[in-house]
Amino acid sequence: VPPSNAPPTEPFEALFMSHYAFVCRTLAHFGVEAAAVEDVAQEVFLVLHRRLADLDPSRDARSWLWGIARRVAHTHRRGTARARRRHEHAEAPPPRPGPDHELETRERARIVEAFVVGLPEKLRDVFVLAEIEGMSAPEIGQTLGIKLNTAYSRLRLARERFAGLLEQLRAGENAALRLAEPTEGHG
Amino acid sequence: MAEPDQDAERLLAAYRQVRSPSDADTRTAWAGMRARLERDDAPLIDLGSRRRSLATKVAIAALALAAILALAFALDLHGAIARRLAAGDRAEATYQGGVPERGETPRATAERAGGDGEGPAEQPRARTPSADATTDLAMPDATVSLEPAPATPEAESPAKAPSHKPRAKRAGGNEVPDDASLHAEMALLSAAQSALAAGNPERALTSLERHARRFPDSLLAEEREVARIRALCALGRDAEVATARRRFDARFRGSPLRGRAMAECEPKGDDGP
Repeated sequence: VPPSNAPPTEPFEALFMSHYAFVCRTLAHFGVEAAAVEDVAQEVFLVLHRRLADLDPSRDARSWLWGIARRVAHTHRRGTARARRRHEHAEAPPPRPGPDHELETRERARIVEAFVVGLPEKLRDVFVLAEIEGMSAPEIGQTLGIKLNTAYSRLRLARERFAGLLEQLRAGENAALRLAEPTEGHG
Repeated sequence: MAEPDQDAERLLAAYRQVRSPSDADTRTAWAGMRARLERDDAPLIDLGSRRRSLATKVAIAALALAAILALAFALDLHGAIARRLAAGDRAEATYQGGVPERGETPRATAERAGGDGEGPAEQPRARTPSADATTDLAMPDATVSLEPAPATPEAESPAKAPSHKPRAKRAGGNEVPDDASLHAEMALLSAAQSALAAGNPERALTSLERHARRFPDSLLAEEREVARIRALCALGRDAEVATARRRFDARFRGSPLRGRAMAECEPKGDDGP
């Protein structure tokens, strides 16, 4: 089926289009390798499609998708043989040489990636949901099944650490902080 | 040199960009998804899943009950064995040079008697001030009313600890946050959210304003300001909404909450900025 630029015409398509990027980022967050993210994201949406009737409509869709993605990613990591077979023809794309700003953006992303990976899991989830996905503290609490106070305290601790990273980068005059702003409007 | 917030925003924006598929990738993925749904003939709604879910829950509950019973039995058995061994230990302690004191356990007697025996003595598990230890604070109930507290100079003075700037020792991983201020901050924010959820924006605003006075440079200032805009919206204070949104935009330009702050509500009237 060829890709279409037409606006979504059915609720599930709208859901998919709105949250596909979120699911891809979440799967990467849960350790799914880049080459497999697309396939695993499809699994996530397949589960969602089959379980639509069970889902609580009062909850943010990202809250369901986070939980589904966590489980699907876990299953994927435990048994990647099937995904590996599926990807025999599609190896991970090599880093593309590009304009300077693209390299700069990747360097910045790498710094954040290293920071996120180095966080304790509890802080990591909250930091990513707040800073990358833009969730509010009540939404984070609902998504992770934690109390609001806990979401706030974890977020504050994670931000303290991030501020510490920035200070270290500045002290080391890291090149990534001197670079021009990344270009807007990816894709 | 860039402002601190700009540095953070640039890093996070780069991470978001690199981790996100393009619009074209998303459309292609949807095409693949649609083909997959058609191929698998996946039902839109699985009516049986709720019933299966209930059956699963019953099975899990039964297993849990069985496990608890087995554990209780095992503990009872363990207790009987321990009592039997205690009698034997008493004789062994005498051999090691120690006589159990009244109420003392056989192990304590043995340790007292042979302090420098083989292997290191077991140290009590210290509560180190690690990040994990401070991660889950035992917070007071968020619904505790914060209203009546008068604005004492101490209570309302800006807190020094929770600043945007990390403390030097914290970066080294040795300093723990000031628990009292952390608790107070969390309580104010949680009280505001609870009040908003309960449809009481006035009370939410009171908590948020107290938070702003005590923690002006809080690391959770973005969350506070979004909640404040929401409360002002609910109260129909449109002019203040507009001002708060402008201030948010200026202070947290790259915040992932920016879109929400801007779209929280549209001013209902045109009563000035």
